[in-house]
Amino acid sequence: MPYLVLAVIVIVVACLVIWLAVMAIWSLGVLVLRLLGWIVSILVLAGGVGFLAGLLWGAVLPIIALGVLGRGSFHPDVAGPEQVQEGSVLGPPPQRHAAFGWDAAWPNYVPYQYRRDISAVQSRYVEWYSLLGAGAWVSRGLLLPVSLGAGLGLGVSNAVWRVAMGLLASIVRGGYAVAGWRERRRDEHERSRAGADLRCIRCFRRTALPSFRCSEPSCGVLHHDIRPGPLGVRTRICACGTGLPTSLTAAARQLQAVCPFCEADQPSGAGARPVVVIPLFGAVGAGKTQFLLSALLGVQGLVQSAGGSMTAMTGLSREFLVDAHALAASREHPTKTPDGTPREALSFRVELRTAEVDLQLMDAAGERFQRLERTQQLAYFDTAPELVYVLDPFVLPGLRSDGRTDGLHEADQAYSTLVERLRGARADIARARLIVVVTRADLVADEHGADAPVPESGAVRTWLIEQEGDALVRRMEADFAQVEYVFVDSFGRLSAGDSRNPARVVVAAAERVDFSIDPGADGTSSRGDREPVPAGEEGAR
Amino acid sequence: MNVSLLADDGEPVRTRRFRQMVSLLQTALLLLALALLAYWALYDGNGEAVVRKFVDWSSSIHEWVVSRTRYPWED
Repeated sequence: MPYLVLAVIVIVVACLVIWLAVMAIWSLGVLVLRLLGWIVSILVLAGGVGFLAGLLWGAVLPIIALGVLGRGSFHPDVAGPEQVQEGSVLGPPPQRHAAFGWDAAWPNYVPYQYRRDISAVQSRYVEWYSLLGAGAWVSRGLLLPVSLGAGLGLGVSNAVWRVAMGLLASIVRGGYAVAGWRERRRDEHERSRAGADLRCIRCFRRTALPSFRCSEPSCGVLHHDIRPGPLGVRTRICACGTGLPTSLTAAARQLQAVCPFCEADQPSGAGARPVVVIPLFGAVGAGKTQFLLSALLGVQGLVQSAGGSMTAMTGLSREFLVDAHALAASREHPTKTPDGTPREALSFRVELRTAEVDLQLMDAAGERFQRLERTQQLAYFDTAPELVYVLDPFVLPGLRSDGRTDGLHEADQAYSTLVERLRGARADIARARLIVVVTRADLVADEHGADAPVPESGAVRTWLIEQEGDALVRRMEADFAQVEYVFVDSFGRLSAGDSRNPARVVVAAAERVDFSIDPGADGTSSRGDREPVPAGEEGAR
Repeated sequence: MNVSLLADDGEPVRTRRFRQMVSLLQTALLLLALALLAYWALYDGNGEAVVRKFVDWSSSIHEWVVSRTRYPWED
């Protein structure tokens, strides 16, 4: 019996213990679950707070990263002139720049430096992602949702920032493209309207894109393509920090123009004005230099009488002008042009009213036209729109009583040599104008009186044919599309409007680039109105 | 002597200005975005604050757990 009672008690106690254990486990489970519910709620809230913090930090991070609030540790990856020339900013230079590469100048901020700054900011974002990731890994507890939320907020800010910056870059680049295009068009229009041109006074080559030297004397770096582009739309900043204009028109007025082929400095303002090129050729003793002197003085007189000015642009030109005045005063013949390579063109700036023009006169010794190989340095003929062939009429058989033709042969040889050179250089002869200047009009008039030609192109041509120069005339007219004949007196004191005045050749050439030189007080052409030469001077001729 | 357009640090002044402009612009854009976000967070158009909804939602996790759990003495 006692065993039975004991067994019942044991069973009851065991059931009670089991019940208590179940209740305890149940209560504990509920407690744990409810605590977990709280924890999850708090974690979600903490994640939200972290998200907002990340969002705010992401908003101010670019400003801090770019050092706008103070340089701090920000050291920009500079896209400067050196990097431009190395090709790490703009890439390899385009084909048209291949010969000289990119110019030493600072690139536009957008998109070149901009890209580097964006990368610098992005790397700061990445640093923070790593930091938050590491923090989350280390804490793996309550801070985990904060880190994850902050990372998410930072990511949202980062994404918004990337989109905003992409849009900004597109807008600025579009603006640059439009402004650059407009600036180029305006510049082209201005240059076209002004007839601006550059022909090197040293190598005589023509270019539509002159180089310019930096205006800072201690720098002097050459800028080969100063037009609006990736190195500046409105202003170019040279490597030295000097601001330079980006239009060829403004650059030609403000900077030293340089020939892109031979890098010779050009006269002041070269490249901003039209150029009148007068290249002379002819046999030895044809009267080229005398014609040049007389034409130059005549033009100077015309310009000054019209209220303008003519300025020698180089030392050589100044010397030549001084010599021309001295020779005219003394009424002496010039010394023969030395048989050497012409060093440079004689360059003069003519200003009249509000217009300007560059006058380039080129003379070479007659010996240079005796053999083809001796014309190699005379590149200025290849691109000149008009050529001046100086012919001494006394080589024509019709004017010679001794029957000698060696003079005509030499004149013919000079002509043939030059035409051969032009053909060899693939010059567009058919488009060039040949001006045949028949010199010594005064002597022809003195010796032949009424038989002397009227100084009008057709009459001079007829006269040349009559004087047995027909073969030469035919050749010239076969080679050139336009041939004009001029009869000049290089030694007389002719009025401005006299057709025999050598200055008329230059005046006519200037008119072809729309630059009018007023013939002077007597206005219209006064054919044959040669001013009387003072007594005693006639014999000096 | 020409006036140099470079700042003390050797970069062009225009680069610094552009950088400042870009920073100010991006700040303005981000603050605008944040303002829109804040507006949305505080007022969703139906007079209810989204932040409050978020707090409610997060606390509802706990309430859901409570509703699904009972202590023995609660039955």
